[in-house]
Parts: sequence; structure tokens; C-alpha cells
Amino acid sequence: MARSSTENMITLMSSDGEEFMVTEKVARECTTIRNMLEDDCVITNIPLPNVTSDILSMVIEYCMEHVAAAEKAAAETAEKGSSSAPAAAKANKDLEEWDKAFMNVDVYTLCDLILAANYLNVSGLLDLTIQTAANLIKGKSPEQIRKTFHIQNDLSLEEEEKIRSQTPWAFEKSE
Amino acid sequence: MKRASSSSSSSSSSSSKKLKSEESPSPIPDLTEDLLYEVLRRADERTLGAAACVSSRWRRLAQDERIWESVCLRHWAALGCAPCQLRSVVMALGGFRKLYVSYLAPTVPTRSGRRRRWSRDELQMSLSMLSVGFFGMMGGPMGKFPPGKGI
Repeated sequence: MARSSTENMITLMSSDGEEFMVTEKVARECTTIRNMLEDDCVITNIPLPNVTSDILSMVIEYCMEHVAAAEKAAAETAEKGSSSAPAAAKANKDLEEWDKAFMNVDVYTLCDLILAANYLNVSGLLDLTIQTAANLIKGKSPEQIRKTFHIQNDLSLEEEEKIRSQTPWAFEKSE
Repeated sequence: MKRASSSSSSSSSSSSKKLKSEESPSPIPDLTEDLLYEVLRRADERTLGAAACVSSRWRRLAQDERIWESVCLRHWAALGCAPCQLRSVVMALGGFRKLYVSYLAPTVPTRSGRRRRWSRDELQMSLSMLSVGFFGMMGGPMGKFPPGKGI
């Protein structure tokens, strides 16, 4: 339903019991929450048992930034009658830079963010975090990937040898 | 809650389902298969090759046919063949990973990052090789040519 709520506040509660007050608009960036609100529009308090407070605060920070950017773009378009292409491009670039800085986190936080973005269904954040994880493994050796994600190798020596012999080009030194 | 009883004796533990490594105090949160699949879907072929060696779980996902199909399609983007047609042929003859690993990779100069598109001839050649390999495996009339060799 399109209804321009004037500062309708929603309380999100993290798994460790911390409460976060956000505008409905920000909360709606999470598709999971948007669906809840559409099913039951009087709901104002949403417990999120799968998300800790530090991760939830980051998700909210991301949603707020993206809502603010979208509002700013819409306001500029309304003001000038038409959106100016260079200004829009700059705003996009700024937001990209913000995303990039936002992704400057350790691998623990990154994985937690992926799980939270998936659970809350924030498509932009999920895309951003998955891409960051993909960049982390790009061009790395199996040992480096295991070290990065703390994975134990459960392959036998023969199994590993078999894979290496199938794709020897994947194990050549690139530099 | 669970209580850790074994405090000392860091003998090499059994290689069963112990994914949490000892040296990390708080283990990395486990991504679900779907999410790890999404990560690998964005990897290039070189990274996929390395990822397959990480663990049995990563191997299973890094060898997923859908991922290798998109690797092949990335190279074939400009060839104008209908992907669904191609899929039915390739899947019947052994799959995209086999096609790439056995017949296409040897033709691609792999210095990471460099990527070039294959020509239509290379595509047709690789498909022919795949089918020769397939019939060889079936022990048909072309069985005397071992797959991946000859010509």
C-alpha cells in the first residue's frame, strides 16, 4: 500500500534485547519487515531473534543511508522539474563510495552481515556483501581461502590431487 | 548450553564434522549453501578451480553445473546461440564443467584477470571434442580415441 507515513516509528528488537527506533520508511527497506507491516499494519514492535545488536545497527545504518540518498534524489528531481544527469551520477558515485567504506569490515562481521541481509531480505545489502565476499576469494589459493574463512580441509590428499590435476591452470602463480 | 570438556590434549582430532578451527576463539559464522553458492557464482574460473580444493562442501558447490554454464556463457556472449539449446546438448554430453575443464581451458591463456571471448570455431570445436569424448566413454565406434586427446 502506498501511504506516505509521516514519521511512523517502528521498534526493532535485536536478539540480545536492544531496541532500535527507526522510521517506517527505513524499516521497509527490509523486505521481511515490509511484508510483516503489510500483513499487519498496526504492528510497531518487531523482535528479530536472528540478528545481534551490533549487526542490526549496521543494517539500519545501511538502510538509513540508502533511504536518505533516494529521498535527496527525489527532492532534487521535484525541485528542478527534471533530474540533472551529472548531479545524479555524482550522487550515485557518492553512495558507491559510502558502500565501499561500509564494507571495510572483518570477515566475521561480513559473514554476519550476509546472514542478516539474507534473513531481513535487504537486496542491496545482500548484493554488496556477497560481492565483497567474492572479491575476498578472487585469485586466492585454496590455503588462503581456508585461512580467510577458517575452514578445515576435509578432503583427502588423493581427492585434492585429483582436483588439482583436472584444473592445473587454476593453481599457476599469477604474479 | 554446551560445555567444552576437553581442555588439554590437542592431538589431531578426527576428521569428521569439525569445521571450527581451533585457533580461532569465535568461529566464522557459517554461510548457508545458498549463500556460499551466490558467492561462488560471482567467481571467475581460476578462483572456482582453487575453491574446489578448499573442502568437500566448497568442492561440491564450486563444481556446480549452473556455475560452469555461466562461465561458458560469459565467454560465448557474442556467439548468438540460444543458451537453452546449447544447454540440452552440453548436459547430454557430460556437462559444462567437463566441457570447460577438458576442452576449453587448454585453449584459453590463463593469466588471471585476462579474459577473451572464444570464436564460433572454438566453440564448435570444443563441442565436437566433448561429443567425441562422450562416445569414447560409451565405448562406441569412436571408442579408440581416448577423451581429451588426439586430433
